[in-house]
Amino acid sequence: MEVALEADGLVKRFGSFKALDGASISLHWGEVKVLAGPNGSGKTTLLKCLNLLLRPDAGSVYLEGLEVTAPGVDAKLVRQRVALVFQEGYLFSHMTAFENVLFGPLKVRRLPRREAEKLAAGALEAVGLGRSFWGLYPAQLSGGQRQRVAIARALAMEPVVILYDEPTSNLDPIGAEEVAATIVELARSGVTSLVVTHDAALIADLGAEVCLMSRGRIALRGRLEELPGMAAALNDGELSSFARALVGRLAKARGVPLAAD
Amino acid sequence: MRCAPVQDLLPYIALILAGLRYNLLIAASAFLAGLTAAVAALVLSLFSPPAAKLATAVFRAIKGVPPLVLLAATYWLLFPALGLPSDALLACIVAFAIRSSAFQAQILRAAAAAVERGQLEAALSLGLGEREAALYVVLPQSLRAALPALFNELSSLLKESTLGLAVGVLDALARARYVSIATGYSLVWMVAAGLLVYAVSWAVLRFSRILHKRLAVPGTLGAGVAGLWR
Repeated sequence: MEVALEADGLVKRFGSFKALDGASISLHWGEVKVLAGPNGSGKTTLLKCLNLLLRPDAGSVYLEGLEVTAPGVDAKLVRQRVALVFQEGYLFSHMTAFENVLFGPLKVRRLPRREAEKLAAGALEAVGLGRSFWGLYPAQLSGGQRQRVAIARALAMEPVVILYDEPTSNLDPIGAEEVAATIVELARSGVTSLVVTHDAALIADLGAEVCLMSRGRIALRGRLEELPGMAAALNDGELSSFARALVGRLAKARGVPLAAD
Repeated sequence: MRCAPVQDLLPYIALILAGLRYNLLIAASAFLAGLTAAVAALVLSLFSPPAAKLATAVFRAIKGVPPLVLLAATYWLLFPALGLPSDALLACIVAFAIRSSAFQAQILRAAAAAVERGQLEAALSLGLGEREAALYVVLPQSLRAALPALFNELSSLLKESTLGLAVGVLDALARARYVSIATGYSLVWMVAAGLLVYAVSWAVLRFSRILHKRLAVPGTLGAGVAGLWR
């Protein structure tokens, strides 16, 4: 499998705070990975650096084998290929759902209108939003529908990879479930995805490898149920309790008795 | 005292009405020029803190100057200094455009502050350039929100334009003064000219309300709150 996106030793400082401290991660074509970790461990910063929305202070990002953190590379072109779905979706509130999705292909990629419209329609159908929703404005949609439009907006860019930043954490259970189902379905259809989430059900449904972040780097990676043991072995108290809580939540949600710690 | 027959008054009324075109011209031109400057300032300041600082300082200085002083300085200082012909109407338009740009910039900035930062980030994350993101995402939402305040500004400009008299623009109010001197009915003509300007200003604000409603984004409060109590 070819590597689609790779980060090597990323460092990002905000003043004296080191948000990223040697974070490395790689995604093969069609691969799905989950990124979890305590608040402030650098997950969002890592996503923004992968998309070059933030420029890392040190380290490299490779997109399809090409170093895009090298001087002279146009960050705008990288952002077109590495899509980012935000926690709040952030749809353009003065545009309809369809216009929101059409915006990227038409205004950013500057495709001919007919081609752009076809892409937008396909993306909206891929996230399960039928024509009756296309003319509605963000304020007229439910949280789950809004987030799915945001995913469609990312899809319409035909990106190499989609980065999701806690896509279900602001939604009610129904919305979270419909968005999670969409993400899982897209992942199964081969969309390379990196999903930042604490939604244990979503992690289990994705069945993907989980990378646990701590203090600006990937501390360990493995399957969800292995994480507490691995964290304990690291002798990292904060990470151990985080991993136990994450797995415990899933066990509770699925009605499975908690495994003995 | 006998009242003059109506047909004798008609030429006076026509004279005042004809002067109204100067008020309209000054207000409309100054408004559009001011809006252009304000939009440019907003787009520049969104991504450049130094430009934002400079714009704030310049606009604050302009807002502090009384309109009559600004008009006099434009006509008697700025125009000669730049070697421009001493055209009272043009000086009026320029002075009020400068003044209005400061107020409109403040209106737009306040409206832009209500646009979520995340929307701008979302636009950038798609690979859009900064200026385009400002134009496509921030500006349309800011202008919509600012519409009533901008039209208020237009209506103030209409009233401020009567200051043109000071540099010799023969607008509706200036003509009303001359007519009142000629006829001796001083108050009547001033009130008539005032009503005329008021009528235009009312029409402007009425139009603004219709436009604001029509442009409101469905599902937002701008589109009306009546549904909340249904």
